[in-house]
Parts: sequence; C-alpha cells; structure tokens
Amino acid sequence: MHTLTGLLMLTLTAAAAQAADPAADYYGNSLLCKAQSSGAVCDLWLEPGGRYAVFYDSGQKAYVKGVQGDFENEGRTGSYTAQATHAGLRLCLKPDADTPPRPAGHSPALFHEAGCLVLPHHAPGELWTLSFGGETYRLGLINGR
Amino acid sequence: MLRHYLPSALLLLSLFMHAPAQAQQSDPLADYYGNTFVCAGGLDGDDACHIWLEKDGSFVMFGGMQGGHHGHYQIGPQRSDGQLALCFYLDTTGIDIPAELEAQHPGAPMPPPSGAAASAGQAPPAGPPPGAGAGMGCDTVDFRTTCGPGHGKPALDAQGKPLPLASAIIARFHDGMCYPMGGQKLGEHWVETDDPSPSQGGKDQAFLIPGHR
Repeated sequence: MHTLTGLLMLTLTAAAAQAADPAADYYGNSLLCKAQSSGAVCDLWLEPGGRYAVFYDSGQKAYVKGVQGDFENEGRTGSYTAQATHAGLRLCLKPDADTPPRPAGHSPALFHEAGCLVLPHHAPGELWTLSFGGETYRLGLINGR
Repeated sequence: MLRHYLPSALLLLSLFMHAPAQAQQSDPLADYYGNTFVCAGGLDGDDACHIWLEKDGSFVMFGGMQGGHHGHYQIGPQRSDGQLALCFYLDTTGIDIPAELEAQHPGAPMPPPSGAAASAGQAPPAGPPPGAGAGMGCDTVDFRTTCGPGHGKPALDAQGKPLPLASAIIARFHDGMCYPMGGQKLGEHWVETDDPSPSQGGKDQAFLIPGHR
C-alpha cells in the first residue's frame, strides 16, 4: 500500500514538474530551422535554468575578413523565459550581447535578436512552417544534439 | 618572538594569496574562455569552425557540421613553440536530421580574399574544413594528429561508403583531433602552420574574438 502511494506520488510529482516547465521537451534536443529562400539553417538549444544557445550556418561562402568577422557560421548565447499558452510555447530571448545584425543575405534571423515568438505545439520529429521577418522557415524539434 | 616572525609570515601569506592570480595569468588558454576561437581555411580564408572553450574542460563547436555540438578536451604537454597540444573529443556522433532541414551550401564560392590566398599565389582548393575531410584518415600520436593518405581510416558508413562531409567531420572529432593552441590574446588573428590536414596548405587562419559568436 505504502509502495503504491509512493509510486503514485512520484508519478504525480514528475507530471507536475513537466507541466511546470513548458520547455522540458527542448532540453537535450535541437530545434532546427531552415530558411526556405536561402537554405540557411539554425539550431536552437534551450537549457534548464533559462540559458540558450543558437547556431547559424548561412550557407554562404563568407570569407573571414577580420576579427569583427563576416562569418558563414555564427552563434550566440543568452537567457530566455518560456510560457505555455494555448497557441504554443511563448519563448522570449535576450542575447548576452548586442552583436552586429546579420549581414544582408545571411539569414536566418530567427532567434537572433531579443524578442518573443510563439512556437506551436508539435511532437518531436514533426516538422512545421513558421513565417518570421519576411522569411518562411521549416522547423523541427529533433532528438539529441 | 611573534613580532620577529610576523614580517616573514605576512610575506608568505601574500605570496600564497597572489598565487591563484599568477596561475590564471599564466594559463595559455585564459583568453579563450568565454570567447570564440574561429578557424578558417589557411588559403581560402573560408569560415570553418567556431569553438567556445570553457575552463572546466568542455567546449561547444560548430561550423561545417550543422548545428552545435558538445565535447570535452584534453591538454597535452607544452610544445617547443610555446603552444599547447589540445585534443578535441565531441561527445556526440551526430543526430538524424530530416532532409528538409539539412544544411546546403548554395551559390558559387566567392573569389578568394586579397590576403592569404593571393599571397600564396594560387587558387583556393575546394576542400573540407581543416583536418576533417571525408575521404582521408587521421592518426593521433602523442597529442599530435596527422591526416592524409596512409593515416588512419577514412570515415565510412556501415556499408563502407564515405560519410557525408558533415557526418565525417563529426566522426573525426568524436575520435579526437589535436591542434596546437594557446598563448594568443583576445583580438588576435594569426596563421597556424601546423594544421593536421594537408588541405589548405597545412595552414589554418585563426581568430580569437570576444564573446560567443
């Protein structure tokens, strides 16, 4: 009897923790995006505790011109808040630093600047389409990193 | 008696208190922590990798392998040129990326910059990021990696076919790749002439830039 009660409480606690953390599906996984016009890609990581990292590959052969860079690859880190809404996960990002905006043609700009957007509910592995900043993206939450 | 030893004791105490600061200053990788190391082709200058090195022995690497990847590094002995042999081991063998989300590299390559490639007097070879080509093998002996014909095994899939480039790069770094690093200051741009790979003339251009980029 005590064992059953214990198991029930453990299950309820785990379920409550899941419900309390709307970004739990993202931990340890990769939210990939691909801009449909340029083919540029991104990879967003959300960590427990409110930190994130995002990685971009513009797909352009951008030669490194100097320390300030004009990079094919770009990454940034910052802090986020996540909130469950009827429409999906409302994600607000705040980058650690105000780095230069993406050069023209170096999309994606998704997840690049401070701001909020809603990621609709989708199971891991399912792909969906999102419009942002005049660009259309395909996105998917992929298992692993 | 106490007054007699007090100056010596204070001197010793101050030496101990300064020791951590001196150790930090002498860490050849100190300027890497919290910042971004960028490697680029030694000849064509193309952006090939970004590494976020942490003091706790972990790193994040991206570039040429779609998305970021966690790893850990080992530090070898200091070399005669003052640099450290740093061996990178990715903790992952990659993830299954749907074809719709796979990175592509559209468009023709841009002409080489007026710097490195021009001074080398030749057109940049179209090649993989430094040290990670799909069709060649690599050996690591005593914290030194050498890639090319006759070294190691090519990165192959279960059917014995060469892995796609991004997967081959991940596989190489999962097995471990060692590079000379350290001693540079934030903001520096230098050319590393001891790259493991013969492509790009065995050279890397390297940058140490502030923050995570």
